[in-house]
Order: sequence, then C-alpha cells, then structure tokens
Amino acid sequence: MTINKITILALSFSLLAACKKEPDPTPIDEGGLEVPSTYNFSNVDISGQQTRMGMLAEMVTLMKTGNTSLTVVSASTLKNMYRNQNSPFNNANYNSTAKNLISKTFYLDTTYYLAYMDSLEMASMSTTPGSNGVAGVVVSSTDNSKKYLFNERGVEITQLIEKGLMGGVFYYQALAYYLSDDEIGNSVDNTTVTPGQGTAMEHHWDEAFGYFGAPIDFPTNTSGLLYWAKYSNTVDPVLFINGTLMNAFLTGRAAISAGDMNAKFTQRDIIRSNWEKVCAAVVIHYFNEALVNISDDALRNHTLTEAISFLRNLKYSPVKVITNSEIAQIEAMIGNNFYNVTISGINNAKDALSTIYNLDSVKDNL
Amino acid sequence: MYRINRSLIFVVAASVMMAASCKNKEEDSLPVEEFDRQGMLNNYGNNIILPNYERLNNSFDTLVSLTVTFTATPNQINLDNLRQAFKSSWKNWMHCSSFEFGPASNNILRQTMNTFPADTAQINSNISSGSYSLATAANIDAAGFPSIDFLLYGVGTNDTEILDAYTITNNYLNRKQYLLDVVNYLKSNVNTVYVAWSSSGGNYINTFLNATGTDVNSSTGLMVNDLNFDYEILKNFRIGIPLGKQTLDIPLPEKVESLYGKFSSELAREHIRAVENIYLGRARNGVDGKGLDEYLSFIGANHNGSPLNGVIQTRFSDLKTALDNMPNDLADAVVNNATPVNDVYQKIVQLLVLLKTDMPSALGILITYQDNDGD
Repeated sequence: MTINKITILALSFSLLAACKKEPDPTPIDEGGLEVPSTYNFSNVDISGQQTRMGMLAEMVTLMKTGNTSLTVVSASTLKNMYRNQNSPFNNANYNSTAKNLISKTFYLDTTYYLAYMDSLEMASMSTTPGSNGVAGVVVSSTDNSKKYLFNERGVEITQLIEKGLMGGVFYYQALAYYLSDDEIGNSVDNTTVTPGQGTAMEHHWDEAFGYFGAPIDFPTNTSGLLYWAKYSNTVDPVLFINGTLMNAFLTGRAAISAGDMNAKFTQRDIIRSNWEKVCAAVVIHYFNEALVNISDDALRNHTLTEAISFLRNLKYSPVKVITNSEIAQIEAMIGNNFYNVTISGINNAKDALSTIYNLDSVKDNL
Repeated sequence: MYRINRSLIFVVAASVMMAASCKNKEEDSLPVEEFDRQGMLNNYGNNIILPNYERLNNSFDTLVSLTVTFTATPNQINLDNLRQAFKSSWKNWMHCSSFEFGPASNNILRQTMNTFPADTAQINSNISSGSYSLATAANIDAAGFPSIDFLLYGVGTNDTEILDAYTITNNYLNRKQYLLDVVNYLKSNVNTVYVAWSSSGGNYINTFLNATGTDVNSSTGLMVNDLNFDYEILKNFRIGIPLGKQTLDIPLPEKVESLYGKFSSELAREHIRAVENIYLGRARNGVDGKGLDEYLSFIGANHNGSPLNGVIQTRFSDLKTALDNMPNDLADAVVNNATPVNDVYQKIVQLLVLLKTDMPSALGILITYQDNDGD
C-alpha cells in the first residue's frame, strides 16, 4: 500500500518534472510534509553509529583469521575490542574515543558475547580439521575457496558474535532504544538545536537511521551498504522493502523537523515492523541456503549459524511479532548440533517462521 | 488564553517602555503584569529547600548517634532503632534530591548519597582490606544510602546472621568501622551542602533568591531543570529499569533502590510526594506557598484547552493513586505482579510530558540537561 502510494506519487512527480526545466529534487509529498529524496537533512550526526559499525568490522576481520587452520584468535584481544580498552583497533580514532560496543549491547546478553569470544579462541586452538564432535576448520566440499571455523557442534562462533551484535547492538539500539517513546516521544526536546546534531528528537531519530547502515541516497545507491542495509538489499528483490524502510526514515525525520508528531509515530511503526520483517526474511533466506547445501558441512553449518543468529535477533524488537518461546521452539527444530540437522528439521523451522511473518507465499524465493 | 495574555503583556510592556522613556530611570525596571518570581523563590528557598536540608542534616545527627550505639553494642534493639533512623534519613533525602544545583552540584551530592544498586563486592572488599577512601569514584556505589541498606539488611539472611556480622563473623570489626565511616561520610556531605546554603554559612540562599530571571542559570531555570532530571531518575532507575523497561520487559529485580530493606516502593512514594511539594511550592509541614502551580495559572498556560496547572495536578493525583496500589516489595512485584508497577510507570510518563515539555515551554525555560545517551 505504502509502496504503491509512493510509486504513484513518485511517478506523478517525475511526470511533473518532465514538464519543468529545472532539475527536480524529487521531494515526496506525504500529507503536506516536504520529504526530501535523500537523508540530506541539516544537522545529522551519525558518527557514533559509524564508529561502532567500524569497530565490529575490525572484530570480524580478526575473528575470520580463525578460518585459516592453526591460527589462534585471541579472546582477550576481542574483549579489548568489544570494550574498547588497551587500544586494540587499527583505526586510531576508535582507540581514542570513549565509545564502545559493550555499553550499547542489550544489557542481559553481554555475558554471552564475552563467553563466545572464549569459545572462539578455544575452537581456534584446534590442530585438526573440524568434524562432528571435533572443533576445527572445515573446507567446503563444493567450493574449496570457502572454509569456516566451527566448534564441535558445527556452530560458527564468529557468526554468533558478528550477527549477534548486529542484533544486540544495532537493531536493539535502533528499534528498542532510539525509536522508543523515551528517545523520540513527545516529551523529548524538539526545540533546542545543538549545532551539528539538531534537536534531541531529531538526533535520536538520526541515530536509529545510522544503525541501519545505509548511505543517504539509499536505495538509489546500493554501494557501500553496511550490515542491516546490506541484508535489506539481500531480501529486497522479493520483498521490495528497501524503499519502504528508507522512505519511513526520511518521512519520519521530516515529520519531526516539521513538528508533525503523529506522522513521526506512523513512520516509527513502519520502520520497526519492516526492519523486523527483513530480519525474519534473512533467517528464511539462510534456511534456504542451508537446504541447498545440506550435504556440504562447511556451507550448511555456516548458513545455519547465520540463520540461528538472525532468528535470535528477532527478540530485540520491543514490538516483535514473534514471541520468545516461538523463537526457542524454532531453534529447537534445528537442534544444537548442525552436523546432525535434518532436512525436515530445517523445513519445519522455515515453515513455522514464514507463517508467523506471513511470508508463506515468498518463502521459497528468499 | 496563553497567547493572548502574552501579547497583552507585550503591549503593556511596550507602552510602559515608551512611557518610561519620558520618565526617570529607576522606573524602567518596574515589573508590570509580571509573575512575582522573587516571591516564589523566597518560598522555595526559605520554606522548602533550606528546611528540607536542615531536616536531613538533623536526621543525620540521629543516624550517626544510633550508629555509634549500634556498633558499640550490636543487639536487636539497637539494630531496629538504627534501621528506623536510617529509613527516616533516606526519606528525608527524597525531599532534597531535586536540588542538584549550586552547593549540591558542587559536591555531586545526588550521586554521593544515592547511587544504586550498591556495589556489594566493592563494599566487601573495602571491609576486608580495611583501607579505602570513600570519596573516590570507585566507591561512589559503595558509600551511599544503598550501601547502608546492604550493611543493615543484607549482610546476613536473617537478623541473627546480621548481628553476627557485627559481633563474630570474619571482619566484623572492620564492618562496624565501615558502617560508621559511611554514615559519617554522608553526614559530612550533607552538612557541607546545608552550610553552603544557609545565610550564616556560604549564603547560597542569597544567590538563589536574587537570580530571578528565567535564563539557564536563573534559580527558576535551575530548579525546573533539576526537578525534571530527578523525576526522570524516578522514572528510569526507581521504576523503569527494575521493571525491564530497558531490557525488553525482562525485569531486573536486583536493580531496585532498597534491595535489602525492601522499602523501595515507600521511597518512590516519598519521592513523588517531594516532587509534588516542589511543584506546588508546599513545605513539608503542609503550608502551601507560591510555586510553579501559581506561576502556570498566572500566565494562563493551557494543555489541550484546559488549564495546564489543573491537568498536572490531576496527573499527580493519578500517579499517587497508582503508587498506593504498588506492592511494597518492588523487587518481588516486578517479577510476580508487574501490572500495578506498569501502571505506575505509565502514570509517571504521562506526567513527565507535562513537566518536561509543556511547563518549561510555557515558562520560557530551556531544559538543558542531556539525556543519558553517549553519542
């Protein structure tokens, strides 16, 4: 519905534009709101989000060294990076900032991520190839350029950490924190402009956008996508969801600047539900990948770990469609040893999830 | 109404200014149709803030003396008396916590007095080492009211064990000393701030009474900002975090204010009583002087067509009703009976919008404190 309206509006604007001479900035008119076509608002500062995404990227680079056998991944270095202590980063700007990932992680889960770092180091100390019951690096049987470090149950801990923090920090911070009534509700200051950051309400909205990881001219521009924007783009050919999300970010920000509080909440709800839909669709996407690669230990375990990580991330939205017990049930269908997973187990998990998210009609295309 | 009044004031003020240009200089500053902020500040300073600090300060005399008695003779009666005095001082603090400007701000009084939850590991390590400086940042959550809460209610699973902790258990001598040190440390902080306010001491009261504007450093500006800041502590730390408002509704009972004495709900009620008193300009003895309520009425501030002051008072009343229905054991309630706590939280939020947005904008006051954000 929204997409249609926007498409029609965009179309009529381009028709209008065709009659004009001047270059068209293609503003979208949402009920009288002037909405620009890119996130080119004044006073936007998402440097904090970019810094944290950069920190995670450095952690991932380090963790992936473990995919080469006989390379030990240091848990203490990873923890230093997670906490940003003892100057662990190559990028000196990260070392000198007070920002870190751990303080923004969903409070109750920080201990898990720290424990995963120990588990990763442990797995990386393996001196033998991985197999069922044995931690170690496994090379793909269909593409020997692909190899991954698994624990003895076929879990790729690197993914648990990377995708987990995408959820436990970026998704959680955006949906549960910055888009909460506490941060963008009507009691939040929308009058005092801090130079470079806008009002508190604008800034919080911008920070949610920052964690989406998209360039300001997304989805026209799909290069340089980070984390969530990249996954939105992965499922976009089926769900056409890039524009929905980006338009909601643009319209909501314009609404805040124009003092239209109702429009702000409408767009907030669109972002929350569609971002969650991206997350659910990505799980199904990886279930499909696992089915295709069911006999390839490396690819199957790798994609299943991705699926399970994104599945767990669904819990971080305060208005999630799925319940925590449904998440646990679906996870149980896969089981905790990916070497022993069955096709019917994956199919059951996929069907359960697609039903909850009303994605049955597209579940095989994701 | 509000707009009309403001423009009226403007017209009147403009004509006065024009008239004044033909008259003597002194008459320029004649306030015309201006709310009597000086009178309001006089009520706040002399009938509320100073007496509240005085009462807190006096209650610490009792607290220190009963701590001395208890540590000299740790028995049940002395423990009970000490606990009672402790609770009373903690409640008295609720009536001072909103004034974190001037002397209190210089002494970081709020964090010193009441950072919670207490860091029991730090407390225990201080006790076992017997060597500590309570004023260091590392001890900020090992030396406030919540630490005394732990020391008087949490160092054993029942009163016998607690008394043992002051008579026979390992480090009992150090524990007694630590309790004394913490109580004395808080007393000296309270006393410092009280003396700094009083006219016979630092005389901050004089500064307070004479900063009559509405700019960020005016007394009204400081008071309204800090009232909101403190009110948000109620919303977030007293209720919201234990209730799971920052953890996707997963409750964190261990984050309540009085984890061991189990009177967090009582403290919350006391705090809202204090906030309401400040709003109304009402002293603890019940005498209701000129306050923010009169100020809002005077300028005719409205909220959705009704007088803002009336709406605020209704929401205070709704909140107090909800608080009365909140179970006393908050840590238990957030896990086993969250509905009444959720109701309190909703009512807190409904009032917050008015106190933090409507009221300051009607009064022309900027809320300048930053939400705890980090980016």
